Amino acid sequence: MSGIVDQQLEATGVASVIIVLKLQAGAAATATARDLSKYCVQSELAQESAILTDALARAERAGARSAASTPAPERRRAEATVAAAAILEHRPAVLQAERPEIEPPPLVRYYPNLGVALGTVTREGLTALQADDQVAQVVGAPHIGLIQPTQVRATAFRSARTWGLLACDAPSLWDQGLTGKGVVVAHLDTGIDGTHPGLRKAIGSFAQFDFFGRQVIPDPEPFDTGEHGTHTAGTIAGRPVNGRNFGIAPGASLASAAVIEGGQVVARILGGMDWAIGQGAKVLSMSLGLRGWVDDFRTLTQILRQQGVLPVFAVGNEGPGTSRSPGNYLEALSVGAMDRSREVARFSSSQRFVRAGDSAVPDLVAPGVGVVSARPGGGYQSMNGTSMATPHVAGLAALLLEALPTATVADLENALLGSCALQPGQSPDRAGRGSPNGPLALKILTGA
Amino acid sequence: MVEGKNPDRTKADPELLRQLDTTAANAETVEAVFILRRPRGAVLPPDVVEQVTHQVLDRVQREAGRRATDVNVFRHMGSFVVAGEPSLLRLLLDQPEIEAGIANRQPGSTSLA
Repeated sequence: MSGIVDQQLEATGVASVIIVLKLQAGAAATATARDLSKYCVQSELAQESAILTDALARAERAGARSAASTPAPERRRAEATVAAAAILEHRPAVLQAERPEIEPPPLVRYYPNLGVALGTVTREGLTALQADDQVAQVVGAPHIGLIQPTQVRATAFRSARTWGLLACDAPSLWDQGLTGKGVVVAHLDTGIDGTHPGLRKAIGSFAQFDFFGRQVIPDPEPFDTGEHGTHTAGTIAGRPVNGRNFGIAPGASLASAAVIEGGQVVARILGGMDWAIGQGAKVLSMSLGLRGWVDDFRTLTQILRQQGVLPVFAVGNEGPGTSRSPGNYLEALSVGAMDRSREVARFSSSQRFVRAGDSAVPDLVAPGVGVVSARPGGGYQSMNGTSMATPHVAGLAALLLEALPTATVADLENALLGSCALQPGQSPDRAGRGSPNGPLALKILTGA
Repeated sequence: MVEGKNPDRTKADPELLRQLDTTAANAETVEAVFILRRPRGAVLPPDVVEQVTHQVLDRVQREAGRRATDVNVFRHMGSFVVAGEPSLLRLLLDQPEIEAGIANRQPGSTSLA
């Protein structure tokens, strides 16, 4: 049984599962699926199931597969999960306020063209389901719930500049004519709302990737599967709206890809990285990670650097003594969060490792509490998290690259880290070098 | 695994090894990401990535007598993802061109920060 199901069962007592039936025809299969209801329950996961149900129904209606050519169970399961994730990616609103529009699901819903059913089970129900002669396979439904920042709050955006811009002193670099123009910043996240007035002109390219790292469809319209990506993208390169600024590098071009929705699949993120390099990205802002130390992305992070891409990664939101990979690699520029008074946020991860070189993470801290940026559908919202701090640093790197396009990854890293200063109350264990300063970083980089 | 073929041991993700072990009994396929070995401090050009990937795959498919069910090459990242039977993926892990192998589907949660 997949880790997803075990994790859900341990955390909530129930799990959302896709049930692959043994090959049957028409009415018999429908009856079998109905019979599976005895193993399933309604639960607090119903809302999440409703979203997946809706996605599967769309795949079904789209004629994803004819019943006459139903392939092997493993293949059907894979197609169902990919179809669900892909369709979810086209529904930016579904993970947000529009959820209540979806009707609660029945205990089990069957999709004859896909050859799968969807239900919610307890551990006992799961055991019984797996033992049923009619069932070929039971697998975890794809993760569609996002781990959100520590706080999300709707907000009116009244000031001319967010506190994060001022804390990095980005406006002083703007005054010198630097906006990040001509610099491509890769943004791998939940996607980006291409209709937001502050983002329309910031998006140079957009893509979405399936579980095998392939683009789902060529040249899709930019959209956000959640709201996280729109927020982080806005901090990197949001354009001013009505004289209000929230993007550090308001002239930079984003190569934005939806890679996180659908779960923990290496190739999906790898596909995004590969595509971003092809788009000419020199900075990668990535506010996601696996909890703890996981080696999987280390070589890939080294390759990013060798390709001339500065990897700027969030360190995590689990507080002192914790971190996430790849944000805790030596090869990453690891970013923690500070609040408006420059204190390290309590949630901001920090950890010391036994290794040569820089043994502690994060490397630096940036504004990550009460960060106002774009919200899907227009408007703004405030979020807390190292996810919010990371794009500040990526945006600063874009400003520096405009000033010196030939700067190497090491040059950029040295300039950013060299500009950092520990603020009163910040300790190296929690804040690394402290918080960066744009003009000083420029001076270090260019010598001017 | 064939011994002695790959003097510079491939770094294999423990999760991938676990999946290869458990899936072998079920005759199912496993998905794995493979990273090609690079010259020290250098990157492989995209065309070379494509070429080496197909060379390695052709070799192991001949040796195993079975084909991968799906392949996707990441030309700029010096890597590729393969779906195939465990025996095929184990052979891939043993090739000298391969630096590391990682399970594509990870049990831990990759989540937003």
